[in-house]
Amino acid sequence: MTSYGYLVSGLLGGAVVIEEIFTFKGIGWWTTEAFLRGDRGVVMGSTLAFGLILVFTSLLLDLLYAFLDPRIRYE
Amino acid sequence: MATVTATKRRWDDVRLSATVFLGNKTAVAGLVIFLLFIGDAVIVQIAPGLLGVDNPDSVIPPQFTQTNPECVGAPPEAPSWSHPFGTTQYGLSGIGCLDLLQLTMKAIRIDVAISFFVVLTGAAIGTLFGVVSAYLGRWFDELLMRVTDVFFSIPFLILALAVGYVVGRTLFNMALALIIVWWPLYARYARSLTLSTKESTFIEAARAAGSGRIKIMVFHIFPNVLPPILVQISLDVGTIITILATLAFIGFLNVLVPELGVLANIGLGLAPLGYWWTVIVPGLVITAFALAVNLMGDGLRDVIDPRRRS
Amino acid sequence: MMLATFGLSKHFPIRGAFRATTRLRAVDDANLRIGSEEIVGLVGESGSGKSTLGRCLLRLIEPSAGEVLFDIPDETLKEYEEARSNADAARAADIAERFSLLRRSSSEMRTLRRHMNIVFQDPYSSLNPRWKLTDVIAEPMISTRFCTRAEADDRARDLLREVGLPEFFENRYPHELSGGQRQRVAIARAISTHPRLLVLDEPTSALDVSVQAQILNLLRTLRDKYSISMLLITHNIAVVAYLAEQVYVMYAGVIMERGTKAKVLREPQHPYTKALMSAVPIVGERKVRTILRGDPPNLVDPPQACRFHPRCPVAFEICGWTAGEIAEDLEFLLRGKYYATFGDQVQVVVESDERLRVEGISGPSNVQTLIDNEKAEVRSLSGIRTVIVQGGGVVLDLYPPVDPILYPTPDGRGVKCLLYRPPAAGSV
Repeated sequence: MTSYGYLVSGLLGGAVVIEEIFTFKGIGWWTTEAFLRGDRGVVMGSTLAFGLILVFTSLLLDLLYAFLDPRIRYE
Repeated sequence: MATVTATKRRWDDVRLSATVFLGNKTAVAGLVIFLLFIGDAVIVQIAPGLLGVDNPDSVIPPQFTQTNPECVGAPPEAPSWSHPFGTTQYGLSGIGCLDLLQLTMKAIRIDVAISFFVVLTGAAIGTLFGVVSAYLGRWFDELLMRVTDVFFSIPFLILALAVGYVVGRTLFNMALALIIVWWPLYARYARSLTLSTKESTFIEAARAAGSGRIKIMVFHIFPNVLPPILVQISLDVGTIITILATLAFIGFLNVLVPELGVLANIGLGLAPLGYWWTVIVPGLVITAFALAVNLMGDGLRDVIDPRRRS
Repeated sequence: MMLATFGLSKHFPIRGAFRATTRLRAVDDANLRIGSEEIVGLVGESGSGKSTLGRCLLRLIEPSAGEVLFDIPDETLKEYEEARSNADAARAADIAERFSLLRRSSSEMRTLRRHMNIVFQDPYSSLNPRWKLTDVIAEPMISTRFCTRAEADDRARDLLREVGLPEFFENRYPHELSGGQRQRVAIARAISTHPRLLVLDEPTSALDVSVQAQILNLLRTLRDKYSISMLLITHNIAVVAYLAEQVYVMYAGVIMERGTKAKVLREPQHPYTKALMSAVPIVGERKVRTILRGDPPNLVDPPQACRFHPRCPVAFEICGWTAGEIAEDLEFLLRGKYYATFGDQVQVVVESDERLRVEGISGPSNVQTLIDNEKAEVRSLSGIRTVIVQGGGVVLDLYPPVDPILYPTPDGRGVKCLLYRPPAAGSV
């Protein structure tokens, strides 16, 4: 299950490439396009957004751990 | 007498390592492909003429349109005997007749060089920080771990883009961005290796022997941390080349250089028109390299694992 | 005296997530003496703190309190003991300043380390797998500036021969050796600087039985040849019996008994030592084993007064029973065996450290009779001094506990048990 954390990270990064190839206008495409345009606000904002998504996913995974494995308890 | 036996023992050691590595067929296949790439990179660097490559640093040679006016607007040609990988065209109805085999050979040199540069520099920085932080502990360790946490909490491609935005979009800066993204991985790995080595009794024995902290770190911990790091480096060369190409592919660079990702990007506009090889060729070359390096890395892992040796 | 410790303690801090920092009292108030050219055995079960104590002596672990006086003349030691008992802090500090290892700076310590070394239990992890044996053996000589690199290499070859290994092993790596051979290398490394004190931390526990004897013989030969003092830490009584002259017995971080080997092993006096020795089989002898109840205590919160009292088969009034311990045992009896006589309303309340109260007794039942009946079996009940019927309940007053010290016995040993307290110290 730990590997899912890395998987999510990889998928989010992959979104950038996939959206570029298929011109699917999601956050990845938006980030790339802003990068090429030199739009500082969008680059910073989307980096933060990606970070937040990843952090919350990890948090969710950790909580799921505690739920699935009774030996783990948070003090 | 003593030195003779020592040399002989060392030689035996190398022979044993070679036997273990050569016993792994896929690893040998990986090594062969890897050596082809390295050979190409070296020849293009030293004597590009041997491979019929000219102007190794540019996609379109200078005065190309003047000397070959018929190539302006020429559509890409499918792979044939004269152009085994086919040709590509820069920009829609732009400059055609660009031989993909030549471009690939030029690109391999740049890609291999950058990925080695990135991995070696990143590994050096990361290992140094990791070992020192694990050995010193306390607040330094805490600080380093929180910094790496920050790096790990952002997908590396996005992070590389963000760094690229700050430092600029040249080839060197792309390498720099990747180093910045990559060193925390090594810092973490080196730290965990150091922590487990530090618990061994021989470290305590060294303290009982009166060895100082620096001596213990340099002569006891480093030699035990380094081999697994070297294997990791060999595996990462393949990973980095894909990331490198990916970054170039989504348009990180604002200059036109022969790079596999750039070549694929050029082809991206052509592929839907039926010129599939313009994307497939650079893509396959990247995949072949990454695969070869991974197979080789697996073989190396067997070599350093003492259990596999005895 | 090669080495003398005074009140040596090691408390490991434990950081809880939100709780305040607590301490694990691994070693408490250890007073150890190692005479010149003497082999001193330190026995105890795993977790009793014997390895921690051994490492504290060499400052591989920094002790929390106490002094370690190294290579101190007997007269000076006597002077120091007097100064301590007369609370003459200035003079004691003056002597400690000269002889205590704990007051040496790290560079002074580095030079001093040539006079002491250690052999570890596990010969597989105590040798750096990436070092050649010469380098392993030469390390203490170079690090303590005992001699130059070239001399160290020469000497390493001599030492290999000394510990019974062929000279051509010098260029080998540890993984090419067996466990016994590795331990020989570890010993060669430990004696390379002509140390005067050697700590042996379970030197044979990780080895095959057939090799153990060879290593012990080697150690004995080396001691005789180089007159090295040794501290032999082990849980194996047979090893102590073979090698040691003096024996210290440790339990739960505290030294329980000290004496000559013959006395401690043959006629143990401390109840713990008795139980320990009763577990050692002797050929041609039938004996009754004392089987201890319970487990060794948690050292974060060790038992008060004598640390052995909760498991001691002969513990009595003042051994350190706390109100909590007594209340637990009493309640267990009242709700179990004596449920029929006392009913289900009965309850034991801890009023203070020295007072308990039994409430909710239904019917004419006598707590005193219960205590008298069960005292022999449930030792904690002996800690109850008086039983007074008061109002609806019964008030139980407890004996104040007494901390035992290492009491000297007539045959020249020390026993940390109140049974051996001289009567002059006052009786309760």
